Amino acid sequence: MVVYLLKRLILAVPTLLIASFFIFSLVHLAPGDPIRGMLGQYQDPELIAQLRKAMGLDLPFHVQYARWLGKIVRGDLGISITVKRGAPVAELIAQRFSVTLELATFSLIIALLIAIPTGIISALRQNRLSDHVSRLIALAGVSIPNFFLGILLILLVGVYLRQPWGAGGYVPISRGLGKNLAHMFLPAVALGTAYSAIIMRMMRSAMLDAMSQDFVRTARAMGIAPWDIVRRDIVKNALIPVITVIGNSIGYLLGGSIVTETVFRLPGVGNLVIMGVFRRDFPVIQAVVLIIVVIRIFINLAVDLTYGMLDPRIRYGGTS
Amino acid sequence: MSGLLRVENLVTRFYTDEGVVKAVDGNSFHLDADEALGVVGESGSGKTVTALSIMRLIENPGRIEGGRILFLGQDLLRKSERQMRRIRGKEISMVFQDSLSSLNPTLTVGTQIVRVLRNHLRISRRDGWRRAMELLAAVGIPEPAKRVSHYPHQLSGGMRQRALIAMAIACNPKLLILDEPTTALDVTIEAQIFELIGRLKGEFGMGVFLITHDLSVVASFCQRVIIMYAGKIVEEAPVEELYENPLHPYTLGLLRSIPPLDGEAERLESIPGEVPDLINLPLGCNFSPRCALADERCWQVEPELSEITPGHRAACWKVKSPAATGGCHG
Repeated sequence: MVVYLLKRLILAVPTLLIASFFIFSLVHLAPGDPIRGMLGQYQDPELIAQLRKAMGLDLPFHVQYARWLGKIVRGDLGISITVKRGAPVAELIAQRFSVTLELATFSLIIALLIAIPTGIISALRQNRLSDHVSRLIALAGVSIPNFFLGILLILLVGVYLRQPWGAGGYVPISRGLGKNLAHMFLPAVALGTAYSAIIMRMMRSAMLDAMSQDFVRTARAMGIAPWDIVRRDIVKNALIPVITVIGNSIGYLLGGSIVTETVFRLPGVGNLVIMGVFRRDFPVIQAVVLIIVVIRIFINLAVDLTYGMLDPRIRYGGTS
Repeated sequence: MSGLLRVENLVTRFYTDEGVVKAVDGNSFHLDADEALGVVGESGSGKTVTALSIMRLIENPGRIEGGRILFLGQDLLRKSERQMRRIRGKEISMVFQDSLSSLNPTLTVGTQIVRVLRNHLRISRRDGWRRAMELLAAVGIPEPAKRVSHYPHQLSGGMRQRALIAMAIACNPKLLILDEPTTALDVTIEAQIFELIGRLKGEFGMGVFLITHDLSVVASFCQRVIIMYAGKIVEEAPVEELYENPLHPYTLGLLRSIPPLDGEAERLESIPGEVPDLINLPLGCNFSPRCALADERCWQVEPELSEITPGHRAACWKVKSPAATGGCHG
């Protein structure tokens, strides 16, 4: 297990390198100039050239990349150019990370609470009314963009029902956990429903797949009670592929949080990257995207480990 | 009428998009306690569907359309699903073909046996595990105390099949259905498994319903044989009788396609043609398109399964009446 973990960690290095190169290139290929954005009305060519030189933006592309990479490796994520001039990017991210983490966790919980039971019921009652209804809802959940759902929720709860917690904005936990969670609820629903639709569909098909397995027939031939077959034969085996989907689509949750944070005015990392993009703050964009990549790699690793916990065939390797 | 199992006019059909598959088409047979009945036929001949019908495990789009399945005098087709659950695994048990896919990969062998025991018997978890180890020992698995906590993939094919048998006999069933239990195993292990089943049959007086496509297995293990072709029983006889005096041309074809162990290996014969489509069966005898002896009547009218000599039934127009030669070489 330790060897496996080490192997995976070593493999993560080239992945990160390639990712970092793409991130850096994309940001630099994008139109727009941070210096011009920074100066606003005072577009003095001499000043622009000076600032460019000071920030190293006049250097050739590969030198810039090497410099950036060198700093990243030493844990220096750079200095913000426009979002909060002069502030270390690491600090900006640290301030906002807890908000995004809370949103993602809350959304995941909501998604699982919706997806797992409906997926199970849908599969067990295949082609009956409850199956059709949940599949329709899942289709809607996948199809409706979460920013749109977010706006609808704000309209309904915040504007129409006039609930203070329904109008967006963020309340830190220091001002009360209840208030904090209440304000997080709608964003988590907006983000979680679409995610739950993905998981629910996967759960349903994994259930149907498990139901058609020979060992389910064996269990039936042994007269095992139906609830026990559902629990230990069907759901237990169906969860194995579903865990992978949950892990692999965590990226969706992180990407979705960018939009959701903007709609609900949550000061999270997603909101930070949006500001970075609008104001051409290269270091901010690069750092945040790179951190998202790192998170994904670690989540994938965590998923693989969970997989081993659920599936003895992986845990024990090929000892047959 | 001391029969353990008596199946009468069983009809099982599958309603598919392509049409109605007549998987089992009006078959009758019986099985006594302490008897092993072999069921032989090509794939698609209805052997497994017959077994699953007895277990009442036919799933959509399949349906048991008619007949009676009398188990100890009671018609299983009139039992509720709840009542059937008490019979399955306890009174009638079944061992499936592929032991790897037939065991739950996420539960240990012990857990799967204990769960059957606790499902049917009032037994503590502790006693259940002790019994599971005894069962594994009984089916000849070495180091049962260690193996009981192994997962299916950690066991060899032969051991898995034994574990599956241990699970099936856990509650001492009166009828054990074996669906090609040794196809995936090599010959030495096959012999061991049949020795084991034979011993258990003698010990508990179990009836055994053995599905196979291997006539040599039947010869060494069963007392009687049923030959199935395209959903119908075409011949039924005691084992020695069938080998010495096969009546149906299909049976003859099957016997000729087995290589002889002793003497000169003559040219092996295969039966020409293919198994008919179970949706569009021939008008007359199902075997007539492949039969060398078939004539107009065989093509037009279906022959009935009738007793030719005591205990020996065949469904063929070409079979002579008991008084005559008994062969089918018209």
